[in-house]
Amino acid sequence: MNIRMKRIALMTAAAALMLWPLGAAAELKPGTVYKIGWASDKSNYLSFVDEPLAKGMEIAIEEINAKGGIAGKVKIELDRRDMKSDPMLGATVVQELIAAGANFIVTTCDTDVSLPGAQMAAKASLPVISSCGADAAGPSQVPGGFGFLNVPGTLTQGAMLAEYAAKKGYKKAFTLKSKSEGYTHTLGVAFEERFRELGGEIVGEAYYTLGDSSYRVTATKMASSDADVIMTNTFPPDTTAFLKDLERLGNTKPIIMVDGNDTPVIFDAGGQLDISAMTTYGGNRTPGSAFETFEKEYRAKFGADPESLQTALGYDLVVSVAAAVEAAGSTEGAAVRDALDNVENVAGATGLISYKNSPIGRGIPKKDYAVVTFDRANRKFVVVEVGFPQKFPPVK
Amino acid sequence: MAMSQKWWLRALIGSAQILVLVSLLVAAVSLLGSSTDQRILTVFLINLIAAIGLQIYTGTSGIISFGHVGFMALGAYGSALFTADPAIKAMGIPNAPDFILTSAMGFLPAMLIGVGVAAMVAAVIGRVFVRLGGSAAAVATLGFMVMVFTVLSNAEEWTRGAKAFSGIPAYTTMGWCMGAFAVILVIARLLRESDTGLGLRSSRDDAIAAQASGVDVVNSRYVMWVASAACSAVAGALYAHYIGAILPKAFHFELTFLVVTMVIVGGQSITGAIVGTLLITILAEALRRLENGFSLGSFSLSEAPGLTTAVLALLIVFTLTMRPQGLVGRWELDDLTARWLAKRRPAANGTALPFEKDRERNPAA
Repeated sequence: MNIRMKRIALMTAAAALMLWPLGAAAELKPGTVYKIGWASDKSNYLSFVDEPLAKGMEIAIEEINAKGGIAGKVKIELDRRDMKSDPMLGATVVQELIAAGANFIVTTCDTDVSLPGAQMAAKASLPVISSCGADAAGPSQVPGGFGFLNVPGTLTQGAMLAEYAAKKGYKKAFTLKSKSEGYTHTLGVAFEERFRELGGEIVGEAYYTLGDSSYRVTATKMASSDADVIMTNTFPPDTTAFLKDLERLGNTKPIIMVDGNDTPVIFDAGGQLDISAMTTYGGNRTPGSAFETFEKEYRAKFGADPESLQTALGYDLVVSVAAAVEAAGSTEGAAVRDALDNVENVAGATGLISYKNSPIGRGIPKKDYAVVTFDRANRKFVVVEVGFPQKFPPVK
Repeated sequence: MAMSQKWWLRALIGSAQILVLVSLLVAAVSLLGSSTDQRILTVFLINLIAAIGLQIYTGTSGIISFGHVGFMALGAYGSALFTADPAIKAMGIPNAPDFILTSAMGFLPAMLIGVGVAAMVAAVIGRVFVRLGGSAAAVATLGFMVMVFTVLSNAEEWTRGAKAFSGIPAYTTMGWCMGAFAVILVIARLLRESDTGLGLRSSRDDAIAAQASGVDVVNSRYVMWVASAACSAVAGALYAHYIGAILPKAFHFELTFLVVTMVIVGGQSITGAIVGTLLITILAEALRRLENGFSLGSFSLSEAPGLTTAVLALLIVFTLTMRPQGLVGRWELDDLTARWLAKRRPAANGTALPFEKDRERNPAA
C-alpha cells in the first residue's frame, strides 16, 4: 500500500468513526424516546380543532407505548406548545421544539398559518405535518420534501361532494364560500369545478366572513333561487347560524356540507340537518371497525364520546408517524421523511392510510371519504356512502 | 439659526443614546442568548420599528390609529412580490402581471417599492383621515386595516388571496433590523423635534389653541401620517423577509392589538414606544412560558392557555386608568437623562433644560 492509499484509508476510517455516533444515535434503541413536537393552537381560533386532535394523539401514543413503543423499543413523547394561530409565533415555537430535541414536527390545523413553522422544520431536516390543514399545495411549499398533510385536502373533498351531488341528480347548485381562509374557499371552488365538469350548473355564489352571525340575505337569495342543492363551505358556529336562517325561511332545498362540521355541536343547528349531508372520514363505523375500537378507547380514557372527528385524525397522525419511524428503522429526519412517503395501508381510526403513490400529490395521504347524514334524535352521523372521488382539480 | 441647530442636534443625541442601549441589548443576546432568544430579539426589533412607525403619528398628534398594520401589510406584500423566486410565483400567482412574475429584485429596492406603495396610499387617504380625531379616527383607521385585509384576501391573482404567499427570500437579519431601526429612529426623532412635530405636539391637548398660535394642525398631521405609514411599511417588509411566508390574516386584529398596546403602555414619545415594545415583548415571552404550566411552592398550574392575552388586555386597562399618558409620558430618554442630571446638580447655572426649549420655540407646547 503506497502512502496515498494509506492516507485515503486513514481518512475513510476517520470519517467512518466520526459518522458512527450519528448513525448510532438515529437507530431505534430500546429505552430511547421519539419526540413529537407540536406547535399547536391552545388559545386562539384553531384550538377548537387542535384540542380534540390532542386527545386522539394521546390515545395512539398510550396504545403504542403500552406495547413498548415504536417497534417495541422507542417510546413516543408529545411536546405540545401554544402558537396562538400566529404564523410568526408558530415559527418561534417550532424553533423552540427543535432546540428541545423534537424528532418530528406537527403544526396547527391550517396549512397557511403553519407554513413559516413548517419551513423552519424543513431547514432543520425534520419532517413536518399539519395536524389537519387541508391545502393540497401545502407540502410542495415546504422545501426538501419534508412537508406532509394528515388529510387528503380540500380539492378531493370538494370533488367528492360534487360527485355525490351529481349522483343524487342535482343539476343546479348555489355555493357559500369565504375568502377568510384557504379551506373555506378552495374547497368550494373545487366543488364548483368538478360539479361543472359533471354537467352541473352553479346558479349562484355567495361569500361570508368567518364569524358572521347573520345569513339572512344570503339564505333568502338561496332559498328563492332555482338551485336544487345548496353547498356550504362553513363550519360551526357559522354553519349553525346559516342553517338557522335557512330554517326561518322554510328552506326545503337539500344542503351539502364539509368535514369541518363533523362535531357534536352541529346537532344544535336544528331542522335543516334533516335535509343535509356532509363529507367526512371514518366511513366504516360498524361494530368491530377501527373507528369503533378507537371510540371505545376514547370513552375508557376520557369518560365521554369523542367531541369531534378530529380526535380520530389525531390518532391517524400518530400511527402514520410511528409506522414511518418503524419502517425507517431510524429516527433521522430524512429517513423518516422517505419512509412516510412510502407508508401504505396503515390502519388508522378513520380507515386505511396511504402516502405511497398518492393520486393527490406527494405528502398527501389517500383516505376514503364518508358521506354522512344526521340522526338528530340520537345525535349520530349515519354513513350513506364511502369512497374517493374519481377525478379532482389539480393542485395549484 | 442657533435654535434650529439645537433641535436637530437634540434629536441626534437622543437617537444616539437609544441606539447605544439597544445595541448593547442586541450584543448581549447575540453573544449569550440561544437561537430562540435571537429569534425573539429579531421579532422585537421588527415590532419596535412598527411601534415607532405608529408613534410618529400617534405620539405627536394624540390620535390613535388602528390602521397602521394595514401599511405593514402593504410593505410586506410590496416587497415580497418583487423579491420572490419567479419560478415559485409562476406556480402560486400565474395570472399576475408580467412585471411582478419576472421580477427578482434585491431587498432594498423591493422594500422601497413596498414603502412607496404604503406612502402613496397614505397620501391619498390621509387628506381625509387627518381631519378626524377621537373615536371617528379610531373607527376610520380600523376600517382601513379591514379594507387592506379584504383587498389582499380577494386579490388572488396578485397575493394568492387568503392562502400563504411563500418563497420570500430570507433577507431579514439582525443587521438589517438594526440598520432600519437606526434610520427610522433618527427620522422619527427629527420629525418629532422639528417645528412641524413640536407644533403638532402642542395640538394634542388643545388643537384650537395650537391653531391660534399659528400651528397648521391639518398639514402637520398629514406629514406625520405619511411618514408613519412609510416607517410601518419598512416593518412589514422586514416581517415578510423574516417569516418567509405571509398571508393577509397575519396583518389583522392580533398584530394591531399588539402594536397599539406597545404604544399605549409605553407613552407618547419615541422612547415610550421603545419602552412599551420592550416591556410587552418581555412580558409576553414570560407569560407564554408560564402558559405551559408552572409551580410556585404549594401552588401549581398545569396549563393556562390565553394567559398572555388576558394579562396584556389588563395591562392596557390598567395603563389607561392609572397612567393614561403611558409609562414614559411625553419624555424622551435625553429629557429624562437631563432631568436626572439636573436633580443631581440643582440650579447649576440656571440654563434651560433641553425640553424647556420647547416652550421657548412654541409657548403652546
